[in-house]
Order: sequence, then structure tokens, then C-alpha cells
Amino acid sequence: MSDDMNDLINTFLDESNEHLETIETGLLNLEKDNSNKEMINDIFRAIHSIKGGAGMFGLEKLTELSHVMEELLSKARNDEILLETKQVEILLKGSDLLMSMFADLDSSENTDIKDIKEQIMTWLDPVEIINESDFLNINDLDITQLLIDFSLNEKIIEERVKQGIEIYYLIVNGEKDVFANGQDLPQYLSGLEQMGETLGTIPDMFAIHDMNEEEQKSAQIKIIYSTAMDSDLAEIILAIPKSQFCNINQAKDKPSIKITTKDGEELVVNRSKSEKKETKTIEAPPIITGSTETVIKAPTEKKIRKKVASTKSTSEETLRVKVNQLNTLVGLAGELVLARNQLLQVTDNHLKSDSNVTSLVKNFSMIISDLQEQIMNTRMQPIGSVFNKFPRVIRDLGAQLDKTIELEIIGSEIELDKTIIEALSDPLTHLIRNVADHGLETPQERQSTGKSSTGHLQLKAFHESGQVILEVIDDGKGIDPVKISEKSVEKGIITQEQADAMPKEEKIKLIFAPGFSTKEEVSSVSGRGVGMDVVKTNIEKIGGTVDLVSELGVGTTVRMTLPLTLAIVSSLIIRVKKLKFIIPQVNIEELVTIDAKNQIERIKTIQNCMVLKLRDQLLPLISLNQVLGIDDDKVQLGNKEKTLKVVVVKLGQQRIGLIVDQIIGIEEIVVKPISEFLNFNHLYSGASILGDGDVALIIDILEIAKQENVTITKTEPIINIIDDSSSKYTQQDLLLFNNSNEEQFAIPVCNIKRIQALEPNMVQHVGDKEYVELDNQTLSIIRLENLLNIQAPIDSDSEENILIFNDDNDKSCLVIHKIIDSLQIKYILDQDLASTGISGSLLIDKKLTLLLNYKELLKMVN
Amino acid sequence: MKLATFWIDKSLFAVDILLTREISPMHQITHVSKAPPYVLGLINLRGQIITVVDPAHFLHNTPNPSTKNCRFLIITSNEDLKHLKKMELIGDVKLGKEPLAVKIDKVDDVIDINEDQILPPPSTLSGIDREMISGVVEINGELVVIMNMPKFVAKILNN
Repeated sequence: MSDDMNDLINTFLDESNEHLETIETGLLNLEKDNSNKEMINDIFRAIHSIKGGAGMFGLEKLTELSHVMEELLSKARNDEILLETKQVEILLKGSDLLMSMFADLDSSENTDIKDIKEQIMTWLDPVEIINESDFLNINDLDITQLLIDFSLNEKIIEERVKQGIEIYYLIVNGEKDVFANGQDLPQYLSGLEQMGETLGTIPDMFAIHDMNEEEQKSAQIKIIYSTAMDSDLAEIILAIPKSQFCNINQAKDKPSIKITTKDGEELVVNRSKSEKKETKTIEAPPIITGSTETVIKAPTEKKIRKKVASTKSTSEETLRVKVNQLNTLVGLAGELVLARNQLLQVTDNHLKSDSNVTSLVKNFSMIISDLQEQIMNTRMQPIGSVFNKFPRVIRDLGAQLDKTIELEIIGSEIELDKTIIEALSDPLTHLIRNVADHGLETPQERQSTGKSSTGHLQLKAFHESGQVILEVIDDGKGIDPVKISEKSVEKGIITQEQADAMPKEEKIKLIFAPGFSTKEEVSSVSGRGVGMDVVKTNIEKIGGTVDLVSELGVGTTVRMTLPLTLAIVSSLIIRVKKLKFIIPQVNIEELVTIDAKNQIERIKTIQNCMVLKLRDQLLPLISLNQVLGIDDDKVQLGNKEKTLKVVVVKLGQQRIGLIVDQIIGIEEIVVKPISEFLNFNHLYSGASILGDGDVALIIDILEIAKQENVTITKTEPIINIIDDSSSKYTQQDLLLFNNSNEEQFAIPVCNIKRIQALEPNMVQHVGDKEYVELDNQTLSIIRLENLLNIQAPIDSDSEENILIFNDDNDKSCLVIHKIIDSLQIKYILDQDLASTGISGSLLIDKKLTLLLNYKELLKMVN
Repeated sequence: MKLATFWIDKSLFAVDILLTREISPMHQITHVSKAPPYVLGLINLRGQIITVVDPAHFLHNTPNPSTKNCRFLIITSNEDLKHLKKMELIGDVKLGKEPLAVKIDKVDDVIDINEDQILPPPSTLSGIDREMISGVVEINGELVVIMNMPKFVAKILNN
């Protein structure tokens, strides 16, 4: 088959799958509300399109099946039949069958459609009532006169007959044949154009397009139409009874118009049968080739097309683009951003004095940012494309499990990157199945606990602070923390002591631990040995997080936080020996440097494994050099020259320290998949080109942990046990820093997004305000001494850092001078020194420390 | 058919020019740790990350670890082959999903030969992985070994 033909078929497949989705969603809705006319119309149109396409490619079984389905829907539309559950059921089965036929188009002709077809037929009228006046008999036709009436040249007919194309003469009644199917005449005619060629109409196209609805309904149109379809197919596609059209090229074959056959109808059928094989070899509908009729038709056709187009343009215009092409575009846009960053670096260093260049570059930079954003948007898809399959899943599961489940979907329109959408399908299906199977009770159980017998399941997507939140909410039996912790102890996931000390909110989260599954026997619906840990890992793989809240007897909410896009990831660039590597920022918890004198004390070796003592917790320490096998150097502790740099990464609840040689900085990178030539090695999850043009590999933290046998959750207590008696104390991680040499400040670590060094050349002045540009965002600089009554730094050249708050809505950053420490402490706040911007004071190492309230500080600035 | 000829160490090799995309000068190679010895690393070729391999490991020439003065022969991808197949310039040939860079020492020439000039590899050609070569051709008294690129790519993919 030619490539063009393949393209056509692929488009047809794509479209048909979309139509099938519409059909399925529609049918499920009809089950609830079978009088919804609009829904019936939607389904009808979708199945009609499938039928048309299938007819065009000569897929007879598909055409037949979709035809009977369409007929049944047509009856429902005309209120001749009410679609009850059993009809919807059979239509669903039909759409399933269609789907499987589309999945394997080559063998679709061998599919057994008889059962479903016959079942549908039972609801259809056995015999179409034939309007005698419409009955066309080829014997009565004077072909020559007909051609004259249509002002058609005999040659046109002959040419087509030679190519094996059928010519039909048809009579179409406006009301009965067209409007009854939800179309108007121009739509019907343009439909014909898609599957063949209309050689002429009486009245002519102009007149038809100028008719109003009433006129159209009462009109009877005569058409001469050429197509590759045989008369059986044509009957279905043309949507008119066989009696209303006849094949005139056959008549044309004969020298005399008077044909000896008694019954014209039979003649048509016979002929079409004998020619079936021949017509099948014609792969595409005929395209206008002859020059004669194009000359005649050209001026009229354009106008008509336009008119047809204008009546159809109610839906949003879209264009099909190959995903590959889009990916290339996204990649290029990413490269453009990188190239721009390089350019900015150069202009910053060399051309700063030339204001013309700087403003040009700024302008250029903005355009590129916009361009990149828009291109990224093209990959965005509504989450509905995943959600939409769940009504069916829930319906089938409900039937299988004997539960009545009502699914509510909110936020289908929320858009996410295509990659994320695709990656969501499996974990969500698993979650939903889990809820239906384990989460929701049987109607009897529900009634006995005073709940309505119908289980409710809500699938909800919404935006929150630059991320998308996805919630799966059920009103089922909830998760029993006691059972979960018992099971976890039994399975060795936690110890009894840990279980005893654990609050119940933490206990239920243990179901995310690997190897956990509470259901004793594996059920056919969920289970299968795949647990919630897989859901969690899958979500984390796309840079998201999973959380779970559950109340026994009331229900469970699983909450997933997802990034909007995957392609550009903020990452930490580190160096090990001579090689640069990338660690995605979502994995990073904190960076720790340990100087020589502390190393011996804080780093211990237990059974050949290094562990780092960090704020009363022990975490496994891995030398990246060793894992990645760069060279044989061992980590040496206590070397005076060397401070040890550790990147603390989190993996679920587990934290791991990675020893690196240098922390280079944070960069926005474009993630590229790892080459198939490197598939021997799973240490890397991708690669990227850095701002300086170097290639660097992205470290797959999960894989590294696996290679080093760091089992998740076993090595440390998952939570910090807070002594209840000390509840008047606040326990928090605080960052301590200096502004001048004298005063010490603290800010809760949870309020900090990141800290980075402030180079004097980064600061830009506008009026009396200072700004700094970071990650394509302009942040205004806050200096504490301008807001609070405190000392200004004496030596303005001293070390300066900026602290960016963990607040996506805010575009400012705080200058801090020296970072003293970061520690976890329990404290009681002394309110004596409290004022706007200062929550209070506390003593740390006998030094008075002011605790800042960043929200108030931001308010003071604005 | 047109062949691109090049030197690896002291031997002259050739490859069907349709299977090559370009010859690129030396780039900064990013080493990939724990990779097989024939994988030299990754390069950034105008924004595309491409794996570099040293064919000497398969052709049993002495691998030369130095990448000074070397060139990269960029082998096309299946995607690019589609066009060639459409134009019927090439039969059913399969390469990688993405381009591959093959380290060569020196570019020699582009030669035009008839397919009947290609001789089966002489039995004296010991040492070389036989499946990696599709034949030899004599040019100006010099024997040129024609590499079977699809086999070479497949070998790397399956290793």
C-alpha cells in the first residue's frame, strides 16, 4: 500500500479512536439519563463518521456493524425507541468490538459481528418502507437524456467506467433521507464529496446552498455520483435505500438504453457482486483528474466549499501534528533557552558597558522565554484524556464486584504535559481499582453502617501554587492504622517500638512501603502483587509526590502533586572527579559540608557502610565516585585539606547522602532520554546539555540506592517522635544567619526555597530598589536593615547570600550575610522582642536570636 | 554506489555513503562511567546528544585511546533512512533509533564503485569480526574493507 494511503488510514484510525471515546463516554452517560438528546446526537455523529471512514476504505464488517449501531441510535433520536440499559449494553459491546477491530484492522474483516449485529437488528424495523414514487428502475431511465439534464459529457462517465469506478444516479429526499439523520443538504453533499465525486446535481449546488431549511426539507435532489463503492456499501454510505439509486455505468455499457432484464434492482445487485473484487483494489476515492469538468466546476465549487466550511466551523479549529515533530520543537526550544543563557553569560562578561547590546539581548531573551512557553503549551493535554476511561472501568468493576459506585470527575480540563498524562494512566488505574475493590464496601455493608448503598468516588484535578493536584477521594471504609501497623511489623517493615511510637496518620502511610499488601488473597481486580509502592514510585518518577489521608469508616483521600511539565527541570549540577552530573532538584533535600575536624565524629562506618550523623539521624552515605566507578579513590576522612560535600537526597521517606567533589550550581536543564546505545547501564535516567555546551548525565537516585542495597524505610525511624509532654515547645528546623556581625537571625527552613551566593554584578538598580535576575525571574531584593530597626552590615563587601522564600507568588529575596548553621531545635518563643516581621526571640548557644516572620516581612515590602 | 573511505589506525575502511550523515571534527567527549570499553562517551552535536563508539574494538585494530586529531563519522538513524527508502535509494536496512558517532582517525576520500567490484572478504583477513564487513574492494592497488554498518550498529545495540 502506498504511503499516502497509509497516512490516510492512520488518520482514519486516530479519528476513529477519538470517536469511539466519545461513543463510550456518551453511552455511559446515557445509562444515567437516557433522554439526553444531545448525547444521543453526539454518539450518532461519532458512529456516523466511523461508518463513513470505514466505507471509504472498503472495510465492510466495520461499516456493517457501525451501520446497525447508527440505525439504532437514529431511532432513539427520532424517539422511536428508548435506549434502556440492555440497548446501551449492546451498543457498548458493539463499540468494544469496533475498538478491537480497529486495533487489528487487517483482520477486522474476519471478525464475527453477527451476534451483536443481530441483537441490534431485533430493535430495528425488519423492513424499510419503500416509497413507491422514489423507486428507481434502470429500465425507465434514459441515460442520454439524464446526462443532458445534468449537462454532463458522456466522456466523463466513460473515463470513470474504464477505471472501474461506479456511477450512481440517486434521488435524495430532503426530509426523509437527510434531515432525519441530523444533517442538512450541504452537509450531506459535502459528506458525499469525501467518499467520491459528485458529478452533478439537480437543482444545482448553488440553488441547494441557497435554500432555507424548509425548502431543503421538501426538496428532492437528483445526483450523479461517482465512487469506488459497490452498491451494498453505497446503500450504507449514501444513507438512502437501494430503491433510490441505481448504477448507471452499467446501463452505459449497453448500446441500447432498453435493457432486457426484467428487474433493474436485481441487475444492480448482481453486477455489484460480480465486481466486488475489482472495486476493492481501488484504494482511494477518485480524485478529480479530468480537465473538462474542473473547468466547469471550478468557480462554483470554491464558493460552495467555503459555505460548507462556514457552517462547520462551530468547533475549535485544530491541526494534527506528529508528536515526534512536536518533541523536536520542544527540544529545539529548550536548546534555544540554553543558547540564550550562554549568550547572556557572554554579554554579561564582555558587553556590559554597551547598553544597546544589553537591551537587544534582553528583548531577545524575553521573546525566547515566550516562545519556549508557547511551545511547551502545545504539548499540554487535558487530564480528561486519562480520566475519561474511568467511567467505564468503574462501571465494569461495579458490575463485577456487585457494588454500586458513582464516579464524579472534576477538573477534566486541567492541562498537563503529554508525558505526565501518559505516565499517570497506570498508577491512577491501580488506585481506582484499589478503591473499588478494597476501599468501597458492598451495598449491604454500607447500609449496615448507615451510609447510602451507593459508594462515591471522586476524581479531582486542580491547580495549586504552580502545580497540579490530583485527588482520588472515596467514602469507603477507610484504612485501619492498627491493621496496617500490625501487618508492617509482621512483614518487618518497621519494628514494634517504631509502630508504637507512630501517630496514626503516619501508620496509614506505611501502605506505600515496598512489599506491603493487606489483602490476604490476591483478588482478580486489584492486587496481583503490585502494591501502592508502585503507585508512589511511578508518581515520583514523573517528579510528583503522593500523600494519603484516611479516616476509618469515613473514607480515604489520595493526593498527588504533579509538576506541569517534565521537559525542563531545575537541577543541581555537581562534579565528581572530572565529570559533571545532574541531580534533579525534586530529589534534593539539602546540601551539607562537613569540615575535616567534624568528619571523624559525624561519619561512622557500620559493616563497611558509611553513615552520616545529621541532626540526630543516621543516613547512609554513598560515594558517587565509587558507585559510578569513575576511579578507585576511596573517601578519606579527616583530611585537613578537604571538606566533605554531601548532597542529601530523599527517596520516599528515606534520605541518602551522596558524597560529591564539587557543587557547581543550579541550572534549568532540558531532559533528553538516555541513548539506546547506552542501555546497558541504568545508573542514569537521562542526559542534558549544560549552559556551557557540555553533555552531562542525570543520575537516577533510585537506581543508585538499589545498587548500593539501601533498602528504603529500614535504616532509620521514619518520623521523629515528638514528646507530647513538651507540646508547649515548638520543634522546627531553623536556619541561623547574620546580617551584621552582632545580631543573629533565624528563619524556619520550611520557608526557604533555596539560598545562593549573590555576586555584586548580579544586582541591578531601578530607582532606589535593587533587583536580581534568577531563573528568568526578576526578584526584588530585601535588605533587613531597611525594614527592621537593626544594624546594617558594616563591611558591605563581606560575604553576601540571597535567600529565596518558598512562596511561588512572591518575587522577592532576602539578603543574608553569613550563614551560621542549620539545626533542629525545640524552643519556646520569647515574645518580648516581637514586632512586625519578628515573631519573637530565642536563645541558641546562649546567643539571642531573632526569629523572622517572612510573611510579615513581605507585607512590609509591598 | 558511493563509498566514504577512512582510516582507522593503519587500515583503510569504507562505508556506504548513504548510511552516513556527516563527518564531524573532534568534540568534547563526556565520559560515561561503567560503560563497555568501546563506548567512548557522549558528544553534543548541535544540540543533539550522540553516543561515540570506537570501532577498533570490533575490527581488532589496536584501540587508540587518544581522541586527539580524530574525527567522528556520524551514522544516520532509522528516521533518516525512511527518506532514502522512499526514494528507493536503499533497501531494507536497519540502523539505530538515533545517530551514532564512530571514531575514525582520518577521512580519506569518496569513491564511486560498481557493486560487482566488491569481492568477498579474503580468507586471509583474519582477526576481523567477519560479520562486520560486507566485502573488500580494490582501489588504486589498495584493499579497502567495506564495513557492514547495520551489523555493526546491531552488534552495539545487542552488547
